[in-house]
Amino acid sequence: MLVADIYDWVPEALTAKAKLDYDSGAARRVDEWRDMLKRASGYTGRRQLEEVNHFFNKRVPFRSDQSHWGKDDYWATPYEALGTNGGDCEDYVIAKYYSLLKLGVDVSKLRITYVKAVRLNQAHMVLTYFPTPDAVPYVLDNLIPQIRSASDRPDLDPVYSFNGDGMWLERMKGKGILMGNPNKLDLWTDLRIRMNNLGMDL
Amino acid sequence: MTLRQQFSFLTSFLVVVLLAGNLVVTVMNGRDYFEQQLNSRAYDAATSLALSMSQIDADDIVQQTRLMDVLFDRGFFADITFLRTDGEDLHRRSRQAFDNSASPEWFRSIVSLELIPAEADVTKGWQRVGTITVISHSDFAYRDLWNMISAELIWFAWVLFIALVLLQLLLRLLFRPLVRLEKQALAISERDLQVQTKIPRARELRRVVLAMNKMVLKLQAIFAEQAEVTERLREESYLDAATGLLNRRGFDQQFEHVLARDDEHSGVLLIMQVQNFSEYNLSAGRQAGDDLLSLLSKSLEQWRNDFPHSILGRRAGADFALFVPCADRAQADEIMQQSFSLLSVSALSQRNELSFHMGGVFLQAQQDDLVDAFSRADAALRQAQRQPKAKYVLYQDSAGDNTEWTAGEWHDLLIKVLEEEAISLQFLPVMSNRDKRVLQVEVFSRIEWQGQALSAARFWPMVEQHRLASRFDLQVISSVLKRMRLLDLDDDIRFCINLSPASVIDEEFHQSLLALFREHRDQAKHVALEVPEFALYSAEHAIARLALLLQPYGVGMGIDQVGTGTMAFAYLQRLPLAYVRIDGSFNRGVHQAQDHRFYIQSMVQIAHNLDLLVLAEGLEDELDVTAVKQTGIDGLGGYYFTRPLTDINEAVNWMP
Repeated sequence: MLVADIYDWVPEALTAKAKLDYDSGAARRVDEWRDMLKRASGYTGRRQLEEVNHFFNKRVPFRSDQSHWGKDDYWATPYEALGTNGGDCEDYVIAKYYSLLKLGVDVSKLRITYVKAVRLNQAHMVLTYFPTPDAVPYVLDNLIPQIRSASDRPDLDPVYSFNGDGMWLERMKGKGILMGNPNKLDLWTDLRIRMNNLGMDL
Repeated sequence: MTLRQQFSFLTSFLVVVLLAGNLVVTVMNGRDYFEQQLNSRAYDAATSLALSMSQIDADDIVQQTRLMDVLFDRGFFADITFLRTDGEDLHRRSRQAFDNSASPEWFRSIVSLELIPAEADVTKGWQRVGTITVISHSDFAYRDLWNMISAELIWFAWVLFIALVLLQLLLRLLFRPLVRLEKQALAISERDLQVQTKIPRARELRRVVLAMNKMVLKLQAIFAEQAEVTERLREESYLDAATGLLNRRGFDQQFEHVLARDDEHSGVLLIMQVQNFSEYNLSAGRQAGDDLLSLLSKSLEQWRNDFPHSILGRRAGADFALFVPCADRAQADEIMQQSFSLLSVSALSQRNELSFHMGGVFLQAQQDDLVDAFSRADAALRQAQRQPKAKYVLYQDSAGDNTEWTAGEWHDLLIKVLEEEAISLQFLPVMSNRDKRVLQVEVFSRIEWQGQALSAARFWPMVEQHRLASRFDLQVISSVLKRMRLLDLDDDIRFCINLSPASVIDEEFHQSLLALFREHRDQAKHVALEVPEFALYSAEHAIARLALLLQPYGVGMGIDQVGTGTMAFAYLQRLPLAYVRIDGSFNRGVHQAQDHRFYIQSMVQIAHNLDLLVLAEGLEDELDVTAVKQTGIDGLGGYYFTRPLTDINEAVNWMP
């Protein structure tokens, strides 16, 4: 991996912006994120997944959207999550998804999955990794620090999963989205626009 | 292309571009909207189908197929595919939605909706069973889009039509002042000086129109000034300052011209003298003398209005000279009596101390010259002065072998001539000054009667006295028209026929004339009618009316004997004339008379400014011809070229 690539993933300007928008702690966390990506780019496979999973689980404290953003449901960018130093399940998933995407993980192997946390009886979201299309996936979750196979997660009940990088969205991005005409109800699209504005291509 | 056409072309083009642009934007927006709707509907359908299929047994293919059918049978989708991870794929593909395509092929290829397959995963628990791909059906979108565009096209066509019609009306309104301006400019170039009364509101146009009007007024002023100078000049040389009558020079000039038309004169020369006028001047004062003179001249002038073609002048002191055309000696005698009694009851009735005498001489045919005529009139005058009883004497001609007719005999003769159409015609070519072509042919009439030829000068006074002028005029015109039928005429050649002032004011004559020209439409444009200048005093309105009446037939109107009256030249501008013929008295001896030449030259200038032809008549001397030619005159005629010809063909084709 070239150093230049890493600055494409997490632009250098974000550090200064974080200092301006939030505080020096935020700037440091953004730098740490970039350092982590640099480190993880040296790894492959399971090791890489764990590095990313571990970084966000450890670095970002869980805060519900209602208490953190004052909204019922808000999908924050990794920059916002790190900057405000807090996030909920979606924010973890997004940060991990973006990081893994940039590290070169095949997008068809990643799914964002709506699940129900059975014990907590709560809506939840995790990132799943499919080594092969028909395999049982691994679950990257913020509730527990380790990555486990889905079959080892009886506490989670899968509802629906989607591939964030479908053809459809790719095409739509070329038209409506960059034309500044986002569908405000589509949280995923909204997020992609905000990521794009920060110089990060989701 | 006119300015208005260019304008309307440009604005129409703009409107079309605007509407077409609008249409394109509408199509594009519609296309984007439909594309987005179709794609998001496909995405929503894929998501909900995948969710439903995730809820059933992964191996129950029948159930899965039914679920796909439920969605597919709604008819909105072109293709629904389920790619199973185990490789066993399920398809549903639609036919065309409509048998007959609801939108033309070219329209589809232009709009070309881009439909993107929407994908969603079907899962069993954590595991993926396969991927659902959904593509929307585009037929409905094309149909709706096509309907939308067609409706808009129809609407645009209407808007375009109405806009263009309104535009044309508006432009016509806006360009009206410009059209008027164009007309005025063209009229000015035709020497027709018109002032525009409608001043346009647009600033530039208003200024141009005001400037044009100013120019026209200036041109009119220049014309008036020029005419005034010429008139004053003529007055100074030919008119008597005290009475406004011709002075000796003016009288002699015109009288001599009449006499010189040798076989064409017949009339009486009268000399009147107030004998002891100088004593009266001394005793009653100069003012009284002048008053007497003007009183005399006024009553004479009034009286002679009954005698067209007469010449009246004050030759010296209280000497007046009067030449009245008349047919024979009897009429001359009558005229003399009339004038004498008129003066004795009017101007001289209260002034017994003044003795007033009159001498006259009847002149006819070839034998006279000016000096001889005056000496005979003088002899008669002296005879009258010698005999206290006879206050007027008509010179007794020893060789009085003229046939004397009574008024009744004259009347019978004239009626007979009319009935037998026995007026014979003579034609005098008028040559163009530019080339050796015949420009006009003057028509003269005479009566052949019992072997004797009577010139117009002889019989015309009787025609007027018996009020037969309009009948004679009509017969002359009709006879000329008939003869013209056989001729092959150049475009601008004209036959000029004299009209009697009595005919001009005769409304019945106008109508008969119209009927005549209607009958000879092809010949009418080669005819011109002319009236003597003095007729303008009494008949200007009638002349103008007649000229306008005949204009549609191409009949021209001319004035002859120009310069003999005391008319202001303004009539040249008021009347729709074709030409003026300067009186022959100005041409006689013109090579020696600087002032005559100047008068003709000014006349030519004034007339040319008004786009009138100017012609000279009565030329006999080669030196005079050369001098007149130099003034820029348009045409010349006279015995220098030829005597009047009886053969019309010869006159038309006459070559010097």
